Amino acid sequence: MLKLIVRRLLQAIPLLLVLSFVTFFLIFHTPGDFLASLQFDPKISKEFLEAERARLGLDRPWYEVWARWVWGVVTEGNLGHSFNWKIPVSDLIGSRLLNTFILALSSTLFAWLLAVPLGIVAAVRQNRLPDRLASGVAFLGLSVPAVLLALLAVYFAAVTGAFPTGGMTSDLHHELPTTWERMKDILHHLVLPTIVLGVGGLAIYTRQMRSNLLETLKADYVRTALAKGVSRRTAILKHALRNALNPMITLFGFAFSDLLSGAFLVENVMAWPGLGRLTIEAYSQKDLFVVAATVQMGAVMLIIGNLIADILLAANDPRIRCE
Amino acid sequence: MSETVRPKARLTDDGLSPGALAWRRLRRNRTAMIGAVVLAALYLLVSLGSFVSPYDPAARDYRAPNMPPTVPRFMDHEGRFHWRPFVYGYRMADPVAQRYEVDTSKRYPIRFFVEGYSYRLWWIFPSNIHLFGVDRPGKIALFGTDASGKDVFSRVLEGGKISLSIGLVGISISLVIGMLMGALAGYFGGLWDMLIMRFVEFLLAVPGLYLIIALRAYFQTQGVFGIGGQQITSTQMYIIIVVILAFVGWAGQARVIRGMVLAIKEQDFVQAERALGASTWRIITRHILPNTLSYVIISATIAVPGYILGEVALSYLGVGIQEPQVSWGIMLEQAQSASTIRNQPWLLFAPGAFIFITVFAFNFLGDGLRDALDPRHTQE
Repeated sequence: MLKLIVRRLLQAIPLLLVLSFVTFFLIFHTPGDFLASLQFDPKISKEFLEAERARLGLDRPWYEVWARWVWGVVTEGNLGHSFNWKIPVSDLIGSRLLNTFILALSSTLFAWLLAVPLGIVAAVRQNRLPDRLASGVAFLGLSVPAVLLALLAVYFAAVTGAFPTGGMTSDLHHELPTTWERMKDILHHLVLPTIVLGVGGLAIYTRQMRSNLLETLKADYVRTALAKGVSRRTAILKHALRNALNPMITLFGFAFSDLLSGAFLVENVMAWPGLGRLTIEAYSQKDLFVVAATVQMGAVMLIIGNLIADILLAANDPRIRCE
Repeated sequence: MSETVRPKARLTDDGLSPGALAWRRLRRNRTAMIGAVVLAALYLLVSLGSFVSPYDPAARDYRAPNMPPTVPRFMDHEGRFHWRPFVYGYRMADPVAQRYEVDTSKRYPIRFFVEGYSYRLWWIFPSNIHLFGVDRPGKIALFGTDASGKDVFSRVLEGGKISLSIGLVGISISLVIGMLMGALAGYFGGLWDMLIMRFVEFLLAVPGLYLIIALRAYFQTQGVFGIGGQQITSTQMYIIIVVILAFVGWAGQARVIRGMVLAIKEQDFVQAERALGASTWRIITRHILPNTLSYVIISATIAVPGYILGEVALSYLGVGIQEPQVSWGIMLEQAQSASTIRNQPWLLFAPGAFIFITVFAFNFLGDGLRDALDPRHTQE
């Protein structure tokens, strides 16, 4: 187990290096830099701009900036300074990462808690109305693009007024009297993005759960259990279900990457202040180190997600050894 | 009636090729056939777009900004029935809020095969005949108009040209790359395998949208293969988007095809062909790749929506198709504010419905193809 973790982490190092290299290369080869928007302002002198450029380190060749940044990250864990926000990138990313994490966590919970029972019902009542309904809903969930669903959610919120149309907190959030009130405010904002982001996963898990359970229900040990007098309910929940849950865990790793891409769009449509929104904001402002750090963070989350999926799989099924 | 009577069900599948068997399974799959018919209809509708659309999709009309959809009617406001369908005009009730009221004082009958703006059908046949229209000053906007009075129905059809073709072109490019790279890695192994698979893993490990946006910015200024640079024409932008989507998309296919090639190249018929002295190119293209074809067809059908949605995502984020070009993605982008969505919902629902139906139909067809071509995979 430890060997697997160590090897995966070692493999990740060159990947992250190459990724940061590509990021810096691409940003430096697109037009303008962070200060470009100021150069047409008559109140700002050329000399001042040059001095600023030198202060931010943007007058150096891109590979030197890249090397310095990587060196800083490796030796001091320093992700650099945001040009725009004028605070350390790590502070900026910390809160945004937490927001994305909250959204991802709640939509994962939403998907799993609904998908497992739906899948069970569909498998147990195979080809009957509940199955048809569950399969239909799953198919629908797979086909609705995240952007469209997010826009429909905004439409729903705008027409009914039952939910906020975007953002994470209301304008008066900081004046709410108690922590509990503030929590409720955030939860209220969380509902629609959670559903929008969770529907895709819900569809995948339901279909997978259904076919897994159908497979295990045919197994000999389920028949044996029924033959020795175990009730159908116990046979399904205790014998079949546990084995059927197993392959679901592999899906987790894949789903994680979908969750990240999905969150990217949902955050941008519904103004959720997460990592994806920060990336687009920083990208349009050429806030170099913020872009580099968010892209790295996205890749790191993907790697960790895959690693967790592998570890869970090995922990859950002793037959799978960690190579 | 004079056809020979065939037995309704064959007892055996003898004498039918695997392709014919798959075709038969596909035709029996009702949902897959619905998907196929819907797609055929959509592509036909969009390819005839200029003929079907009553107005030039780029023509502004400042008399009718944000006008709601006009409904074709048979019954007038006094309850009389008319054989020829007609529309009522709209009267601007509140120019500030752009609120409209139906004006029942005059009927505008819908006429068919009317003269309108000039266009070239399929870039070849010049014409100015349109499927339907109404006499001026009446206006028939089936899906309403946008903020500058452009007809949304015409724009959906025009946007479909980009959105629907991007899926097919994108998947073709990425399949060619994927098959070639997968075959190279699987067949030759060694250094090739190592290099290609590391690259594939890199592409799979980077969150797709981040990479797409970064590449998009690079193309904008640098220009690659003579494409791009400061002045990008609309055709070039189209090519750039397709190439980027394909570049990010081929990795998954290459990995699966490599695995299949690894298994296929050990089989006897490949060994026999090699013993007969066939060239490597011939072995790969004539014997190995055809054996991956069923996977390729299935994955292509399932992947097409990904490209269509990729264009939507790029255009929505403002880095894809740009005005004055129109695609379904950019139409969604124009409908993104909460107030627009509430007051002019047709701007969201018209392109949204078309995107949804297209993706749905491709998924239906892909599911059916998988069941037909790969019976082992059939669920339950």
